[in-house]
This record gives sequence, structure tokens and C-alpha cells, in this order.
Amino acid sequence: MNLVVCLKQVFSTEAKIRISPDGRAVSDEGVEWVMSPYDEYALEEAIRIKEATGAGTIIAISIGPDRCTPMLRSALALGADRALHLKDPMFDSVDALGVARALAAAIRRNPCDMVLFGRMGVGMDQGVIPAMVAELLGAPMAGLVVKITVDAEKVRCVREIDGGSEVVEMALPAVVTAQKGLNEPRIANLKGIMAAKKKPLDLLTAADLGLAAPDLQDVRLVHESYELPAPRTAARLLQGDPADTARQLVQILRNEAKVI
Amino acid sequence: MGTPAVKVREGTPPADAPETEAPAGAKGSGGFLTSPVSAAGVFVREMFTPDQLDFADTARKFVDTEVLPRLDEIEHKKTVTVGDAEMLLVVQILKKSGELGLLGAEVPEEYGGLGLDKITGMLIAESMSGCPSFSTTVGAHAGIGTMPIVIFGNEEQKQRYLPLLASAEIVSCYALTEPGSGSDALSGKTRAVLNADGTHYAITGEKMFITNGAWADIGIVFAGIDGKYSAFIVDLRSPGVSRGAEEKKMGLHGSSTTSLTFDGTLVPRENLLGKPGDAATIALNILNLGRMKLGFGSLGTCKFAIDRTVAYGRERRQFGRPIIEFDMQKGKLGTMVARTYAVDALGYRVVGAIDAEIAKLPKGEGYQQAVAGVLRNFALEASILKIAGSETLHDVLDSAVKMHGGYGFVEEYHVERLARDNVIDMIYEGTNDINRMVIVDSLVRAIYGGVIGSREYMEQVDSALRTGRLEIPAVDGPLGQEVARVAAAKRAVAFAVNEMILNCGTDIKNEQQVMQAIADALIALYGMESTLARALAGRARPIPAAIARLIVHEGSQAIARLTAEVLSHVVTGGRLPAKLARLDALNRQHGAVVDTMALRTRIADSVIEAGKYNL
Ligand SMILES: Cc1cc2nc3c(=O)[nH]c(=O)nc-3n(C[C@H](O)[C@H](O)[C@H](O)COP(=O)(O)OP(=O)(O)OC[C@H]3O[C@@H](n4cnc5c(N)ncnc54)[C@H](O)[C@@H]3O)c2cc1C
Ligand SMILES: Cc1cc2nc3c(=O)[nH]c(=O)nc-3n(C[C@H](O)[C@H](O)[C@H](O)COP(=O)(O)OP(=O)(O)OC[C@H]3O[C@@H](n4cnc5c(N)ncnc54)[C@H](O)[C@@H]3O)c2cc1C
Repeated sequence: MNLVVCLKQVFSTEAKIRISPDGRAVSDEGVEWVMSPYDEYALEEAIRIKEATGAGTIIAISIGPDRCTPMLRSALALGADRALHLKDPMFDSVDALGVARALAAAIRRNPCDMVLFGRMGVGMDQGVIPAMVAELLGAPMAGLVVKITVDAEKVRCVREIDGGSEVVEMALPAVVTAQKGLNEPRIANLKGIMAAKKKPLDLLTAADLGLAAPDLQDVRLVHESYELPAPRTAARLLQGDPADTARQLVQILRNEAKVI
Repeated sequence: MGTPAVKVREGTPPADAPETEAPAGAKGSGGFLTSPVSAAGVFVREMFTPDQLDFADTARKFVDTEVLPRLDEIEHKKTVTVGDAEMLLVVQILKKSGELGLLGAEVPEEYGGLGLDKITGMLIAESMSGCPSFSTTVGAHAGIGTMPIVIFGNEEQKQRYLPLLASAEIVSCYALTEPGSGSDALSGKTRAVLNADGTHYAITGEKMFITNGAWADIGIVFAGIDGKYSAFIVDLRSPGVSRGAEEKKMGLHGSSTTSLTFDGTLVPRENLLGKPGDAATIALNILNLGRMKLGFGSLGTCKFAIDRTVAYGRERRQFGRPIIEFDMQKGKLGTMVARTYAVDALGYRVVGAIDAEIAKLPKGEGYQQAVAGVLRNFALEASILKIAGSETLHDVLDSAVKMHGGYGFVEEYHVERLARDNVIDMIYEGTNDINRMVIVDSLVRAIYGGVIGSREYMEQVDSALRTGRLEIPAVDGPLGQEVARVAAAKRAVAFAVNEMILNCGTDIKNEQQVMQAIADALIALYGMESTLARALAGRARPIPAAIARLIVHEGSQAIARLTAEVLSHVVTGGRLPAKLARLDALNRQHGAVVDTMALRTRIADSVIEAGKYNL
């Protein structure tokens, strides 16, 4: 069974979030980048499927700048056979649909039985790309999957739904997104890390993928602005009898908080 | 390689010019004492390769997911059932770490390991920390229990044992200490007698305090053959081996420490490591590795304790504020962070230099012996690392416990256990006293042997001090003052070493307090120079620069005190006042007004903001 896993690099959950001066982006200065945690489940599942079926290849794909290389390398260390790094200045300004087009183009060139994603990239939390890719590939999709069973022609997925679970069956090729609980990702083996150096990690540009400027310049969604939540201030305890504290509270609400 | 962001003004004697060719003290034997202060060629952690970072990541994740959540169970020696065998949880975890390859990093690839360099081995040791009972179990198995076979084993022994050890299918230990033979490690009474057929040695004797004693399958056991102290690979499941009860220890409760008694235990002749009489070579080389690993384990635990303390101090509020915001606590935290950074800098400087030397060796026949030769040359630096690591950790944990208030005294918050566990770091792998003697011993040998060209240097220093022409370079750029201060400190230490040699001669051995002071001065010097080099290699970014300023200042002051103490003891008669005055002049000229309090606050603030040790 041939599998593709799409990986996104995101801020480590410990990262301190800052907004860029123009307010239109989240600053990545000094931030540690990691594989999106849901993508780890997707990758782990692909490795388990390959181990269980004993055949096929796993291709890890990511779209992004140079900093993605270590993440792809660690995917190879964990068990992917090949990595594709989609890198092109043209990708910098695309929206989610542009990313989906690039991924779909790469997947079409590497036909597979199943494409696995994390349910969303942690941080931006959009979760729209898997559905777009499924649509572009004309493949069925199951999201928020917590259990996968495959055979030669179809895949059965258990999905988390409100208050219970649902079982769906899809003909292959199909797209699946991983939810927490699907598995417990392994830790890279030191021998795997060594072996990863010998596995192919190919760079592909927009041209390599047969994508032309019009495909990528069709930006329909722009990020207008970002805002941080207001900083939490320490609670203040008002002292005095009820009438007095009520008076103080009104003063504060009117003069300091300016909400009444 | 990083180049220092300093410019040396004209008129500087070549002795202190940053060089690119011969990095400071890059060949060991205390050569740093007489080399120029320079960041060039000094390995720092900022130079790790992506692979090395991945290896460390695996080690750290393994500890975070498999070990830390089970610390209490390990501490109370929980057993688990695997298949139909019962084993201790800590042994099961050891075996799991073997499956990931964490125990075979330094075992050559052809014997089932990864054949990685020492930097990586040490980085893995640093990363598998914060859990000393587990770390010591790993160290006794993969370090001192395996490396004797890697370095001194013959082909057959390597093929037979190393794959099983790298995967931890069998567990090893290292049995050198005896009830009557601890620091004087080669004086053991255990005997090995060849049988009449010449096929087996019969080993008789008792070993004491053996880590992994309760569960090891094999051991590296030391015994005398006709007065020649030797090392054997012994199957501990064979008849005539008995294991004593677990010692009731102050710390490391999750590890096993027992005696091992051999009563005519038969060991096949082919299990002799090296030749009869090789014990000293084997033991000393293995100790060098073990000492460095211990230093790096301590380093990792320092960072772990800092992280716990910062997290605790941000949560815990008293007087309406998180306690970490109180100035006194910031002062402590700043010191903890700066000293940890210094151990990091000096530790990777040592292994970086070792790997650079090993990389020059031709592969093939005799390679491992040549590696052992390199390790031997770094005995002095290995001892510095062991002492600096274990004693810095001691101080860091002392502060960590206190900053936790009453909660630092109870089990739940980890630091209580770490503080108990750390005590043994200052006792095993050679007590820190013995390691201080190793430092001075190695230096004196290197000086007498002309290994580090220090005679001429010391004469230069002596005459410079006499004439008052100190020839300390003036250096521009960030940390220029610190470069000059380290150069001055080197001269002060060289001066004191010279006086020690001139006045004590061969009697040094009986002047152990002098040796201790000289060792402490060398430790301070190596720490401050390495810290400075690391800060310079990183283009003197603000926090590393603040740390370098603090460490150089504190080191200079310690050196001023220690060298004066040495002189006051060894220089006799009327010559003392003049000599002390020279030392004073040196210290005065290169003293500096440094606001150490502000530096500590600054360092602490950056770590508090990051929420963890982030350097
Ligand atoms: C938990 C634990 C685990 C251990 N694991 C192992 C192991 O796996 N394998 C193994 O072989 N050993 C092991 N040891 C033994 C350990 O290495 C020794 O305890 C250590 O070397 C000190 O020896 P000793 O206890 O006999 O102390 P001693 O040598 O009796 O020392 C007592 C004191 O005298 C000082 N002293 C000794 N000689 C001198 C001198 N010449 N000059 C000045 N001062 C001196 C020492 O510094 C020390 O302060 C372990 C010990 C412990 C407690
Ligand atoms: C074994 C044991 C027995 C005890 N017995 C008793 C008992 O019998 N009766 C009883 O009432 N209590 C008892 N205690 C409680 C003990 O008195 C407290 O633990 C102690 O007062 C410290 O308080 P804390 O633990 O809340 O630490 P915290 O007050 O939270 O202090 C944590 C750290 O912050 C520092 N800190 C706090 N405030 C400031 C500040 N303003 N400026 C700078 N630094 C600051 C502290 O010095 C400390 O380093 C006991 C505790 C233990 C562990």
C-alpha cells in the first residue's frame, strides 16, 4: 500500500506568540518549529499501516521554506521512505487553496492509495486543506479519524462524532485526517536517524509540479489582522461593607474600565 | 567554526592573539594554561549538527515519556512482568532504551551499535538526565560496563558481547571497588588463578558497591593474576557468584548497589580483557569516559532543576507576587543559570577537542588503542568536567530546594530526591578529592614531560611579573575586558603553579591542600575561559555576554584568593611579600568594577521570560 502523509511545520506549543509590527502576521522571531502534533498521528498511522501490510512506500510531503528540512528528515527517521519538499518563492503568498493545489499536484505525480493529514495545523487551526485536496483529487475523505483498518480496495475509519463514534468505509484512494487518540506516536530510533540521511529528500518547485503563476496567484483569502487577547491583570479584592464595595465597583467600572 | 568578534590592538604579544590554527589547549594535558585566550577552534553546543540534535531529541523524548512519569515507581523498585519473567521496571526501561539505540551510540556499527562520536555520546548522556537512578543504571551498563569491551576487547569478545549489550538483551556492570579498596582502586585482593588445564581462571574475592549488582548478567571484574591486576568479562549467572543485599543508600534508591562475591568462579581463559596486568590501563581510560559522562549527566540535571524551579517560582505566590519575581530569588537563579552555562561550555569544549583528535587517527588495526591514548591525554580536563559538573549541580540543587520552600523538602517536587541523588556524584568515578589530585598530577607530569611547553611560558610570566611588564593584550570589542582578565588570570595561575613546583618539588604529594587550591584555580580558569569562548563564538549576544562577565569576574576573584593562599604556604622566608605584591599588582591591574547583582538579575529575567533554561 502506497501512502502519502502531508506534514505542516508549526510553532512549538511553548512558543511565545507575538504579532508583527504591521499587525498582519504572527511573528516567528526566535520561535521553535515542530511538526504539527496531529500530523504526528498521521505519520505514525502510515508507518503502522506499512508495517502491518509489509509492503509499499510512504512519502512525506511538506510545503514551506528551508526550515522544513529538519522536520522532513525526522519523518524519514521515523519511517517515511521518501520526502518531497515543495519550495518556491511563489508559494509564500498563496492562501489555503494554493497550498492544496500544490499538494494535490505533488500527489498526482506520486499516485497512492491513501493520503493522510493531521486534522488541522496546530496554531492556525484552519483544517481546510485536507478537504480541498480531496476535492482536487476527486477522492472521498473522512475527517477526525480515531481508528483505521485497510484492505486492498477500501479503508474503514472510525470517526469521532458528538456523543459517540461513526464507522465509514471508503473506496481507495481516499483522504483521511487524524484525530488525537488514533495512536501513540513513536520516538525516532537512533538507527532510523542514521538511515534517514541516505533516504531521498527531493526539492520541487512550482514549475516541477506543473503549476503556473495563475494557479497560485488566485488568492481569495487574505489575513487582515491579528490581535492578542488582552493581558490578564491581577484580581483586586475590594474591602469594606457591601454598600461601600458596590460604590467602589461602580467607580472602577466607570472611571478605570470605562465600560459604563 | 566560530571566530571571535574581538580585535587585538597592535603591540599585543603573539601569546594572546586569537589564532585559528592551534585552538586553546586543544590537545589536553592542561595545555589551556599556557595557550592564548581564544574562541577559535573551541567547540560549543551551537555547532551541533542536525543529526546530533535529532539524537538528543530522541533521548529527551524517551526520558520525558518513559522515565519521568514513572520516577516514583522506579524509586520504590517496582517490578513488572514481561512475558513470563518478572523484572524490575528500571531494567525494563533500560531494555526499551536499548531498542531505540540509546545504549549503543558509542559501540561501532559492525557490532550492532551506531559508532557515533564522543560529542554525540555525551549529548545523549546530557539528555538522559533528571532521573539519576535510571541514568546511573544506564551508565553502569552502557558506559563503564560496555566501553572496556569496545576499547580493549578482542574481535571475538566484541562480536560475542557488544551486539547483546547495545540492545540491552544482557545487562552489564563494572566491578572494581572492594571493601578494602576504594580510592586506591588497584589495590584489590580478588585473585584469578589459571587452572591446571589452562582453560579457565578461578576468581575468588569480594567486590563492593557494584551498580546493577542485583540484575547484571555479566560484569567487567578486576582481579590479580600472580600479582598482575587484570580485567575479565565474567558471566554472573555462573556457579560461585553470589550477590549481596541491596545497600540502604542516601539516594539513587531506584538503582541497584550490591556486593558481588566470587568463590572460585570459573571464567574461560578467553574472557580475559587485554593481557594480564592491563587493569590500570583499562580502569583509568574507562574512568576518563565515565567522569565526562557524569559531568554531562550533571549538566542535564542542572537544566532540569532550573526548569522545575522556574516553573514552580512562577506559580507560587507569596506577599501577592510570584516568588520568582523577588530580587533575592532572581539573584540565585542568575547564578544557577550562569554556572550551568559555564559547565556546558567547558564540557563540550573538552569533548569537541577529543573528537577533533580522534578524527585524525587512522581507522583499522589499533584504532581503539589510539582512541584510548587520546582519552588519556584529556585526563586532566575529564577530572575538571567531573568536578565542575557534580559540584555545580550540588549548588544548583541547594538553591532549587530552598526556592521551593517547604515543598523543596518533600518527595513530590523532585528536587528533594535530586539533592540526595547528587551526593554520590561527588564520590564515585573517583572522589572529587582524588580527581583534584589527578588534575595537579597530570599538569605536573605534562610540565616535566615538556608536553605543554610550559616551562618557557612560566619563566616568561615570572619575569614579566618581576619587571611589572605584564604584557596583557588590550582587546577591543565586546568582552575585550574579559579577554584581558582571563589572560591575567592565566598568568596568576601559572605563577602559582611555578612557585608550587619550585618550592615543593617532589614533596607536592604531601601538600594536598596546595594541590586542592591549584586544582580549584585550574577549574575556575577553565570554566571562565570556556564560558568566554562560547559567548564570543556566539558573537557576544547579550545574555551569554552577561554570563561571561559574571563568570569571569567570579573566577578572577576566586583565582586571586586561591593563588595568594598557595603562595602564602609554599613561599618561605623573606621572599613572600614581594611575590604576593606581584600577584596583587596583576590582580589590581586587571580587576574591574562589575555590577554582579545587575548581571544576575538580567540573566534570571531572560530565563524567567522564556519559562525555562534556554541557552
Ligand atoms: C551508590 C554507589 C555506586 C557505586 N558503583 C560502583 C560501581 O558500579 N563499580 C565500582 O567499582 N565501584 C562503585 N562504587 C564505589 C565507588 O567508586 C567508591 O565508593 C569510591 O571510589 C570511593 O571509595 P571508598 O568508598 O572506598 O572511599 P575511600 O577510598 O575510603 O575514601 C574515603 C575518603 O578518603 C579520601 N581519600 C582516599 N584516598 C585519599 C588520598 N590519597 N588523599 C586524600 N584523600 C583520600 C576520599 O576522598 C574520601 O573522602 C559505588 C559506590 C556507591 C556508593
Ligand atoms: C518538615 C516541615 C515541618 C514544618 N513544620 C511546621 C509546623 O510545625 N508548623 C507550621 O506552621 N509550619 C510548619 N512548616 C512550614 C514551614 O514553616 C514553611 O514551609 C516555611 O515557612 C516556608 O514557607 P513555604 O513552604 O510556603 O515557602 P514559600 O513561602 O512559598 O517560599 C518559597 C521561596 O520563596 C522565598 N520567598 C518567599 N517570600 C519572599 C520574599 N518576600 N522575598 C524574597 N523571597 C521570598 C522563600 O525564601 C523561599 O525560598 C513545616 C514545613 C516542613 C517542610
